[in-house]
Amino acid sequence: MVVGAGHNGLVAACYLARAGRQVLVVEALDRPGGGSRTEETVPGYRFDLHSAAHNIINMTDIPEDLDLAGVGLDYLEMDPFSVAVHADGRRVRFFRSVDATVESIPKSPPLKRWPTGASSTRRHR
Amino acid sequence: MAYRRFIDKATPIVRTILPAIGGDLSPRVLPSQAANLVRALRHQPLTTARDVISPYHSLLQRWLPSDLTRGPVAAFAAHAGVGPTVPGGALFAFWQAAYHLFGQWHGRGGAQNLTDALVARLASLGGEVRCSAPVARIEAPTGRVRAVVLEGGERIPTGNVITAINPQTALLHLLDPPLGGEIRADLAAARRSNVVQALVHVVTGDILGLAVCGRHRRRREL
Repeated sequence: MVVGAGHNGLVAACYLARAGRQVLVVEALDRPGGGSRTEETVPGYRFDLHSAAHNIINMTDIPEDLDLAGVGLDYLEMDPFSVAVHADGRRVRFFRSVDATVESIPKSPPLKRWPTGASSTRRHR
Repeated sequence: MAYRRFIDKATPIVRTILPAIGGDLSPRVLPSQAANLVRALRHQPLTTARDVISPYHSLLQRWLPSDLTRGPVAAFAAHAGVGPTVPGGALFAFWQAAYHLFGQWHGRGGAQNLTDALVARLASLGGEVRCSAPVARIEAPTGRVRAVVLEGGERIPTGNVITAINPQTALLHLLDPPLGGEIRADLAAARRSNVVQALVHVVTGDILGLAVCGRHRRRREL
Protein backbone atom coordinates (compact mmCIF):
# COMPACT_ATOMS: atom_id res chain seq x y z
CA MET A 1 0.00 0.00 0.00
CA VAL A 2 1.03 3.57 -0.60
CA VAL A 3 -0.27 6.33 1.68
CA GLY A 4 -0.60 9.63 -0.18
CA ALA A 5 -1.39 10.11 -3.89
CA GLY A 6 0.95 13.02 -4.46
CA HIS A 7 3.49 12.72 -7.25
CA ASN A 8 5.96 10.89 -5.00
CA GLY A 9 3.43 8.29 -3.92
CA LEU A 10 2.17 7.83 -7.49
CA VAL A 11 5.69 7.41 -8.90
CA ALA A 12 6.47 4.81 -6.22
CA ALA A 13 3.18 3.04 -6.96
CA CYS A 14 3.91 2.96 -10.71
CA TYR A 15 7.30 1.31 -10.16
CA LEU A 16 5.84 -1.21 -7.72
CA ALA A 17 3.01 -2.05 -10.12
CA ARG A 18 5.45 -2.41 -12.97
CA ALA A 19 7.47 -4.80 -10.82
CA GLY A 20 4.39 -6.98 -10.54
CA ARG A 21 3.18 -5.91 -7.12
CA GLN A 22 -0.48 -5.47 -6.31
CA VAL A 23 -0.64 -1.76 -5.42
CA LEU A 24 -3.33 0.29 -3.69
CA VAL A 25 -2.76 4.03 -3.15
CA VAL A 26 -4.96 5.69 -0.50
CA GLU A 27 -5.45 9.45 -0.52
CA ALA A 28 -7.11 11.56 2.18
CA LEU A 29 -8.38 14.25 -0.21
CA ASP A 30 -11.11 13.75 -2.78
CA ARG A 31 -8.63 13.83 -5.67
CA PRO A 32 -5.05 12.78 -6.30
CA GLY A 33 -2.06 15.03 -6.86
CA GLY A 34 -1.00 16.40 -3.47
CA GLY A 35 1.35 19.29 -4.23
CA SER A 36 0.94 18.79 -7.98
CA ARG A 37 -2.64 19.94 -8.56
CA THR A 38 -4.28 22.60 -10.72
CA GLU A 39 -7.74 23.87 -9.85
CA GLU A 40 -10.22 26.50 -10.98
CA THR A 41 -9.90 28.58 -7.80
CA VAL A 42 -11.36 31.63 -9.57
CA PRO A 43 -14.20 30.95 -12.02
CA GLY A 44 -12.70 30.64 -15.47
CA TYR A 45 -9.09 30.56 -14.27
CA ARG A 46 -7.05 27.52 -13.32
CA PHE A 47 -4.17 27.88 -10.89
CA ASP A 48 -1.45 25.54 -9.69
CA LEU A 49 -2.10 25.08 -5.97
CA HIS A 50 1.54 24.47 -5.08
CA SER A 51 4.19 23.33 -7.53
CA ALA A 52 4.40 25.09 -10.88
CA ALA A 53 7.82 24.58 -12.43
CA HIS A 54 8.74 20.88 -12.55
CA ASN A 55 12.48 21.12 -12.83
CA ILE A 56 13.87 18.35 -10.72
CA ILE A 57 11.74 15.56 -12.19
CA ASN A 58 13.10 16.66 -15.55
CA MET A 59 16.62 16.08 -14.25
CA THR A 60 15.68 12.42 -13.74
CA ASP A 61 14.76 9.71 -16.23
CA ILE A 62 11.39 9.03 -14.54
CA PRO A 63 9.11 10.62 -17.20
CA GLU A 64 10.84 8.66 -19.96
CA ASP A 65 11.19 5.48 -17.94
CA LEU A 66 7.45 5.40 -17.20
CA ASP A 67 6.59 6.70 -20.69
CA LEU A 68 4.47 9.44 -19.17
CA ALA A 69 4.33 11.25 -22.52
CA GLY A 70 2.47 8.19 -23.77
CA VAL A 71 -0.33 8.94 -21.27
CA GLY A 72 -0.52 12.67 -21.89
CA LEU A 73 2.37 14.33 -20.04
CA ASP A 74 3.63 17.32 -22.00
CA TYR A 75 6.23 19.67 -20.56
CA LEU A 76 6.86 23.11 -21.99
CA GLU A 77 10.12 24.91 -21.35
CA MET A 78 9.73 28.48 -20.10
CA ASP A 79 12.46 30.51 -21.74
CA PRO A 80 12.99 33.06 -20.35
CA PHE A 81 12.22 31.19 -17.15
CA SER A 82 11.77 34.40 -15.20
CA VAL A 83 11.45 38.13 -15.76
CA ALA A 84 12.29 40.63 -13.04
CA VAL A 85 10.61 44.02 -13.37
CA HIS A 86 12.23 46.56 -11.08
CA ALA A 87 10.58 49.56 -9.49
CA ASP A 88 12.30 51.92 -11.91
CA GLY A 89 10.97 50.02 -14.90
CA ARG A 90 14.20 48.24 -15.81
CA ARG A 91 13.83 44.55 -16.61
CA VAL A 92 16.05 41.51 -16.53
CA ARG A 93 15.03 38.43 -18.48
CA PHE A 94 16.51 35.19 -17.19
CA PHE A 95 16.98 32.91 -20.18
CA ARG A 96 18.29 29.35 -20.26
CA SER A 97 21.29 30.88 -21.99
CA VAL A 98 23.57 32.78 -19.65
CA ASP A 99 24.73 34.90 -22.60
CA ALA A 100 21.16 35.94 -23.41
CA THR A 101 20.51 36.68 -19.74
CA VAL A 102 23.59 38.87 -19.43
CA GLU A 103 22.59 40.61 -22.67
CA SER A 104 19.20 41.47 -21.15
CA ILE A 105 20.66 43.18 -18.07
CA PRO A 106 20.28 46.94 -18.57
CA LYS A 107 23.64 48.68 -18.83
CA SER A 108 22.38 52.21 -18.29
CA PRO A 109 20.49 53.93 -15.49
CA PRO A 110 16.70 54.07 -15.76
CA LEU A 111 15.25 56.67 -18.11
CA LYS A 112 12.01 57.18 -16.21
CA ARG A 113 10.45 56.29 -12.89
CA TRP A 114 7.82 53.59 -12.72
CA PRO A 115 4.61 55.53 -12.17
CA THR A 116 3.01 53.59 -9.32
CA GLY A 117 5.96 52.69 -7.16
CA ALA A 118 5.40 49.02 -7.95
CA SER A 119 7.98 46.74 -6.40
CA SER A 120 9.91 43.96 -8.08
CA THR A 121 7.80 40.99 -8.97
CA ARG A 122 8.81 37.45 -9.66
CA ARG A 123 7.13 34.47 -11.09
CA HIS A 124 6.76 31.85 -8.37
CA ARG A 125 8.02 28.37 -8.93
CA MET B 1 29.91 40.71 -15.93
CA ALA B 2 29.10 39.89 -12.33
CA TYR B 3 26.15 37.63 -13.15
CA ARG B 4 28.22 35.48 -15.51
CA ARG B 5 31.02 35.19 -12.93
CA PHE B 6 28.45 34.13 -10.33
CA ILE B 7 26.98 31.43 -12.60
CA ASP B 8 30.47 30.22 -13.55
CA LYS B 9 31.15 29.87 -9.85
CA ALA B 10 27.84 28.19 -9.09
CA THR B 11 27.77 25.66 -11.96
CA PRO B 12 30.40 23.20 -10.64
CA ILE B 13 28.88 23.45 -7.17
CA VAL B 14 25.44 22.52 -8.56
CA ARG B 15 26.97 19.69 -10.60
CA THR B 16 28.55 18.38 -7.40
CA ILE B 17 25.26 18.08 -5.55
CA LEU B 18 23.10 16.94 -8.51
CA PRO B 19 23.56 13.17 -8.07
CA ALA B 20 21.82 13.46 -4.71
CA ILE B 21 18.58 14.07 -6.64
CA GLY B 22 18.55 10.50 -7.79
CA GLY B 23 20.06 9.26 -4.54
CA ASP B 24 23.01 8.40 -6.73
CA LEU B 25 26.14 8.84 -4.65
CA SER B 26 27.54 5.44 -5.54
CA PRO B 27 31.27 4.83 -6.05
CA ARG B 28 30.56 4.86 -9.78
CA VAL B 29 29.93 8.61 -9.77
CA LEU B 30 32.49 9.58 -7.16
CA PRO B 31 35.36 10.27 -9.59
CA SER B 32 33.30 12.75 -11.61
CA GLN B 33 31.98 14.24 -8.39
CA ALA B 34 35.51 14.73 -7.13
CA ALA B 35 36.39 16.42 -10.41
CA ASN B 36 33.44 18.80 -10.05
CA LEU B 37 34.44 19.63 -6.52
CA VAL B 38 38.00 20.29 -7.64
CA ARG B 39 36.64 22.61 -10.34
CA ALA B 40 34.49 24.36 -7.74
CA LEU B 41 37.41 24.83 -5.38
CA ARG B 42 40.23 25.34 -7.88
CA HIS B 43 40.28 29.08 -7.65
CA GLN B 44 40.66 30.54 -4.20
CA PRO B 45 39.58 27.42 -2.29
CA LEU B 46 39.23 29.25 1.01
CA THR B 47 36.97 31.84 -0.57
CA THR B 48 34.85 29.11 -2.15
CA ALA B 49 34.58 27.27 1.16
CA ARG B 50 33.47 30.50 2.80
CA ASP B 51 30.95 31.11 0.01
CA VAL B 52 29.40 27.67 0.36
CA ILE B 53 28.81 27.93 4.10
CA SER B 54 27.61 31.55 3.91
CA PRO B 55 24.07 32.78 4.28
CA TYR B 56 22.74 33.75 0.85
CA HIS B 57 22.39 37.40 1.78
CA SER B 58 26.09 37.95 2.36
CA LEU B 59 27.03 35.67 -0.55
CA LEU B 60 24.96 37.73 -2.99
CA GLN B 61 26.25 40.99 -1.54
CA ARG B 62 29.75 39.81 -2.44
CA TRP B 63 28.98 38.40 -5.90
CA LEU B 64 26.19 40.55 -7.34
CA PRO B 65 26.74 44.25 -6.70
CA SER B 66 23.69 45.27 -8.78
CA ASP B 67 20.23 44.76 -7.31
CA LEU B 68 19.04 44.11 -10.89
CA THR B 69 20.30 40.55 -10.50
CA ARG B 70 20.86 40.25 -6.75
CA GLY B 71 17.17 40.72 -5.95
CA PRO B 72 15.84 38.11 -8.39
CA VAL B 73 18.46 35.52 -7.40
CA ALA B 74 17.67 36.14 -3.72
CA ALA B 75 13.97 35.66 -4.48
CA PHE B 76 14.65 32.22 -5.93
CA ALA B 77 16.90 31.33 -3.01
CA ALA B 78 14.09 32.31 -0.64
CA HIS B 79 11.95 29.50 -2.10
CA ALA B 80 14.04 27.08 -0.06
CA GLY B 81 12.32 28.39 3.05
CA VAL B 82 15.57 29.38 4.72
CA GLY B 83 16.14 32.94 5.87
CA PRO B 84 18.71 35.14 4.14
CA THR B 85 21.03 35.14 7.16
CA VAL B 86 21.05 31.38 7.88
CA PRO B 87 24.52 29.81 7.41
CA GLY B 88 24.61 27.35 4.50
CA GLY B 89 21.79 29.10 2.67
CA ALA B 90 24.29 30.09 -0.04
CA LEU B 91 23.62 26.78 -1.78
CA PHE B 92 20.08 27.89 -2.54
CA ALA B 93 21.42 30.95 -4.34
CA PHE B 94 24.02 28.85 -6.19
CA TRP B 95 21.04 26.72 -7.34
CA GLN B 96 20.36 29.53 -9.83
CA ALA B 97 22.89 27.77 -12.10
CA ALA B 98 20.58 24.74 -12.28
CA TYR B 99 17.98 26.80 -14.15
CA HIS B 100 20.57 27.63 -16.78
CA LEU B 101 21.74 24.01 -16.95
CA PHE B 102 18.31 22.39 -17.15
CA GLY B 103 15.78 25.14 -17.84
CA GLN B 104 12.41 25.49 -16.14
CA TRP B 105 9.58 23.21 -17.24
CA HIS B 106 5.84 23.57 -16.80
CA GLY B 107 3.21 20.93 -17.50
CA ARG B 108 0.78 21.85 -20.27
CA GLY B 109 -2.35 23.02 -18.47
CA GLY B 110 -0.53 23.17 -15.15
CA ALA B 111 0.99 20.87 -12.56
CA GLN B 112 -2.12 18.66 -12.77
CA ASN B 113 -0.75 17.34 -16.06
CA LEU B 114 1.87 15.30 -14.16
CA THR B 115 -0.70 13.91 -11.72
CA ASP B 116 -3.12 12.94 -14.48
CA ALA B 117 -0.36 11.16 -16.39
CA LEU B 118 0.84 9.26 -13.31
CA VAL B 119 -2.71 8.16 -12.43
CA ALA B 120 -3.23 6.97 -16.02
CA ARG B 121 0.09 5.11 -16.04
CA LEU B 122 -0.65 3.48 -12.70
CA ALA B 123 -4.04 2.32 -13.96
CA SER B 124 -2.42 0.87 -17.09
CA LEU B 125 -0.06 -1.11 -14.86
CA GLY B 126 -2.93 -2.50 -12.79
CA GLY B 127 -2.58 -0.25 -9.73
CA GLU B 128 -5.47 1.44 -7.96
CA VAL B 129 -5.98 4.87 -6.34
CA ARG B 130 -8.68 5.42 -3.72
CA CYS B 131 -9.46 9.03 -2.84
CA SER B 132 -11.36 10.36 0.19
CA ALA B 133 -9.71 7.54 2.12
CA PRO B 134 -7.84 9.15 5.03
CA VAL B 135 -5.68 6.78 7.04
CA ALA B 136 -6.35 6.53 10.78
CA ARG B 137 -3.43 4.26 11.66
CA ILE B 138 -0.83 1.89 10.31
CA GLU B 139 -0.81 -1.22 12.47
CA ALA B 140 2.66 -2.56 13.21
CA PRO B 141 2.27 -4.33 16.56
CA THR B 142 5.46 -6.38 16.30
CA GLY B 143 7.58 -3.97 14.29
CA ARG B 144 6.18 -5.34 11.02
CA VAL B 145 3.27 -3.68 9.24
CA ARG B 146 0.12 -5.78 9.42
CA ALA B 147 -2.67 -3.52 8.17
CA VAL B 148 -3.78 -0.01 7.32
CA VAL B 149 -6.95 1.20 9.02
CA LEU B 150 -8.94 3.98 7.34
CA GLU B 151 -10.74 6.68 9.31
CA GLY B 152 -14.04 5.19 8.13
CA GLY B 153 -13.14 2.01 10.02
CA GLU B 154 -12.16 -0.20 7.08
CA ARG B 155 -9.11 -2.37 7.85
CA ILE B 156 -6.95 -3.32 4.86
CA PRO B 157 -4.42 -6.09 5.57
CA THR B 158 -0.99 -5.52 3.99
CA GLY B 159 2.57 -6.51 4.67
CA ASN B 160 4.20 -3.41 3.18
CA VAL B 161 3.40 0.29 3.36
CA ILE B 162 5.13 3.21 1.70
CA THR B 163 4.19 6.58 3.11
CA ALA B 164 4.55 9.50 0.73
CA ILE B 165 3.36 12.14 3.19
CA ASN B 166 4.94 14.23 5.92
CA PRO B 167 7.16 11.70 7.75
CA GLN B 168 6.24 13.27 11.08
CA THR B 169 2.57 12.47 10.42
CA ALA B 170 3.38 9.00 9.13
CA LEU B 171 5.80 7.85 11.81
CA LEU B 172 4.71 9.79 14.88
CA HIS B 173 0.93 9.88 14.41
CA LEU B 174 -0.23 7.14 12.02
CA LEU B 175 2.24 4.40 12.87
CA ASP B 176 0.85 2.29 15.72
CA PRO B 177 2.83 2.01 17.91
CA PRO B 178 4.71 5.17 16.86
CA LEU B 179 8.48 5.55 16.62
CA GLY B 180 10.10 5.95 19.99
CA GLY B 181 13.33 6.96 21.65
CA GLU B 182 16.01 9.13 20.17
CA ILE B 183 14.79 8.71 16.59
CA ARG B 184 11.40 10.02 17.62
CA ALA B 185 13.00 13.09 19.21
CA ASP B 186 15.11 13.74 16.11
CA LEU B 187 12.13 13.44 13.78
CA ALA B 188 9.88 15.54 16.00
CA ALA B 189 12.50 18.31 15.98
CA ALA B 190 12.95 18.25 12.20
CA ARG B 191 11.73 21.19 10.14
CA ARG B 192 9.84 20.79 6.90
CA SER B 193 11.08 22.45 3.78
CA ASN B 194 11.03 22.07 0.03
CA VAL B 195 12.72 19.61 -2.21
CA VAL B 196 15.66 21.76 -3.20
CA GLN B 197 16.54 22.18 0.43
CA ALA B 198 16.04 18.48 1.09
CA LEU B 199 18.53 17.45 -1.52
CA VAL B 200 21.07 19.91 -0.21
CA HIS B 201 20.57 18.52 3.25
CA VAL B 202 21.47 15.09 1.97
CA VAL B 203 24.87 16.37 0.99
CA THR B 204 25.59 18.96 3.61
CA GLY B 205 23.51 18.04 6.63
CA ASP B 206 26.35 16.84 8.79
CA ILE B 207 28.60 19.74 7.93
CA LEU B 208 26.11 22.53 8.39
CA GLY B 209 23.94 21.12 11.14
CA LEU B 210 20.87 21.47 8.93
CA ALA B 211 20.01 17.78 8.86
CA VAL B 212 16.39 16.88 8.25
CA CYS B 213 16.28 14.11 10.81
CA GLY B 214 19.43 14.39 12.85
CA ARG B 215 22.43 12.46 11.72
CA HIS B 216 22.73 10.58 8.43
CA ARG B 217 22.80 7.25 10.18
CA ARG B 218 19.36 7.85 11.60
CA ARG B 219 17.96 9.16 8.34
CA ARG B 220 18.94 5.93 6.65
CA GLU B 221 17.20 4.00 9.39
CA LEU B 222 14.05 6.03 8.78
